[in-house]
Amino acid sequence: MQELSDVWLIFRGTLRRKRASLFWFALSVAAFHWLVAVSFPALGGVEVVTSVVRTFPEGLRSLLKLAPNLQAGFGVQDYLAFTWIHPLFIGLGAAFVVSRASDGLTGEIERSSIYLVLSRPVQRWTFVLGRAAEMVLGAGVVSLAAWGGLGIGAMALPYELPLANYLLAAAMAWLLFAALGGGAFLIASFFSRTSTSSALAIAWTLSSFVLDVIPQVASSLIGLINPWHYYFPQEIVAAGSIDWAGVLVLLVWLFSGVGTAGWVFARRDLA
Amino acid sequence: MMGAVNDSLAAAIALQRVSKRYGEFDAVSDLTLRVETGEVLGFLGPNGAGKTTTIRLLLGFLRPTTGTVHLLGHDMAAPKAALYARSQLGFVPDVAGLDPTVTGLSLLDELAQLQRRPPVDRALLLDALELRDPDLRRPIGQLSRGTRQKINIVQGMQHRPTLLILDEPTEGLDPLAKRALFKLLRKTQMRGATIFFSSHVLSEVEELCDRVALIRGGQLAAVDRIDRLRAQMQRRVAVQFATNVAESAAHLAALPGIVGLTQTGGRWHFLTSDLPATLRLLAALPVADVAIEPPSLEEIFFRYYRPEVLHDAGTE
Repeated sequence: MQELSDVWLIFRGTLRRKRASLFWFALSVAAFHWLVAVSFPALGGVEVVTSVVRTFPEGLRSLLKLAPNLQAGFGVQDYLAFTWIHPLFIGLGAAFVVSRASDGLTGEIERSSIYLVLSRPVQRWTFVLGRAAEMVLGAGVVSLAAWGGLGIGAMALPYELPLANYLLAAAMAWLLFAALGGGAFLIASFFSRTSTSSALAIAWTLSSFVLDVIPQVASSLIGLINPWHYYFPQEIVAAGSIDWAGVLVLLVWLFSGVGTAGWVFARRDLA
Repeated sequence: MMGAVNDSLAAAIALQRVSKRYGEFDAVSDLTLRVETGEVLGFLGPNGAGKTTTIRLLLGFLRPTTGTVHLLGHDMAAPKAALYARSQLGFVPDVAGLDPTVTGLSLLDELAQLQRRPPVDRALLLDALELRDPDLRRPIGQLSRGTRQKINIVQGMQHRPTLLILDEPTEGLDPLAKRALFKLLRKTQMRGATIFFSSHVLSEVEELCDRVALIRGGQLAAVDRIDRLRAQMQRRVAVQFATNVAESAAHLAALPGIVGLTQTGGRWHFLTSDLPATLRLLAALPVADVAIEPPSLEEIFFRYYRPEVLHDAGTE
């Protein structure tokens, strides 16, 4: 029980330090989603957007996880689903969890602030878990803010939109970011320099994304364990449901990444 | 029982043949050091000598390549025993480790909660170090280095630790705050706590510590009481003769163990490694005035580090 109390104290302390950055980050993401929604009429509506998307080569549509079947059209619902795979959103989300992981472990070593905490009767894995919990919460806040921004923007549109389905997309985005953060924590647990751990964690998120859009890899075993493989917002919004196998894979990434990070961190030299 | 004390190692600090190797580089080599309960040990060494590595080994941040580390009788390699030792420990690290975004008060509260011991001495420390409430309510990054260091000292001592490890604790403190810190440390020692005081400020170590450990190139060069180290050193003597000055000086020069005989302003200055023989000779000479100075800690320090100093000077 003492360990859980330590995890809570570390989580709470981290959240207190990071709350301002989290607030502004979430507000920016919300503003982006709001802007995408309210700018839809200004772009020319369904016909124009569909015609633009039709000009995208199939490879590009695959890269953007966009409208695999254009026969069904590309309506406002699809357009707004696209915000969840927009490079700006997923780039910001991935950057958020990578920075939290690198700053939370390697940054603490670089600044020597970790010695203040770990000179106390605190197990190292509880430190990792407290930091990871803040990352998971932060990713959730960012995803929820995106949904909120989209919802507010959608109110200005003359369409009936399935906001509950977008909430499912937000939940999947949360899980995706948390899974990527699990991998980033695992990477950070091995290093003492923020620049190294950040670079490798960015490489991990980018390479896993790229591997998922290569058809031969995406359909292999590597594809099945790739966190990006289960993130298809347009499909989630259209179907109104999520792939539970995907949820499981993302949770496994999160828990195994953070768990292994705690194990590694507890057994290494901190210098 | 968790954290059972090994009687044979019931010193406050016991390092037994500890080495820390990074590839081909020995940061610390075959280091054996015992600090008894209630003792104040000064830990001296120039930059890069292995002081920080030793402290990190003590606290369990680094694992020794060989050897064992016990704090308060607990093996720091055993996770549960190390937790128990750390619950009784206070650590004052370099001030750079304080998060600049949080206020001093919230940092002290947070660290006190993690310590699992109430901050019983916080008010006393804040008062002694003249840390005012408005300072504690500002983000640490907005405070002066001296004020940050005071907060750093409070966090390490507020829970009344049994063993206190300080790494350059006077950095950034003004003379009044240094005086206050030394008073606090003496009180801490008087209630039976052990203090490991790492510093490169020799006068502070000389003022505060019973024994000193001198580390050089990752190895202990000397560990002893300061008075014993002094006794091993040459004494500096200044003597003024009443009559027969040249003849008396010649007697002095002929005495074995006397070096560096020089005359300035009617006084003869020299170093002697055999004080009794020197005193016997002086008693037989027409001495008008004599002054015998014990070697300072600085002179002791330079005796042990002279080869490095010379080497550094030669390579620069």
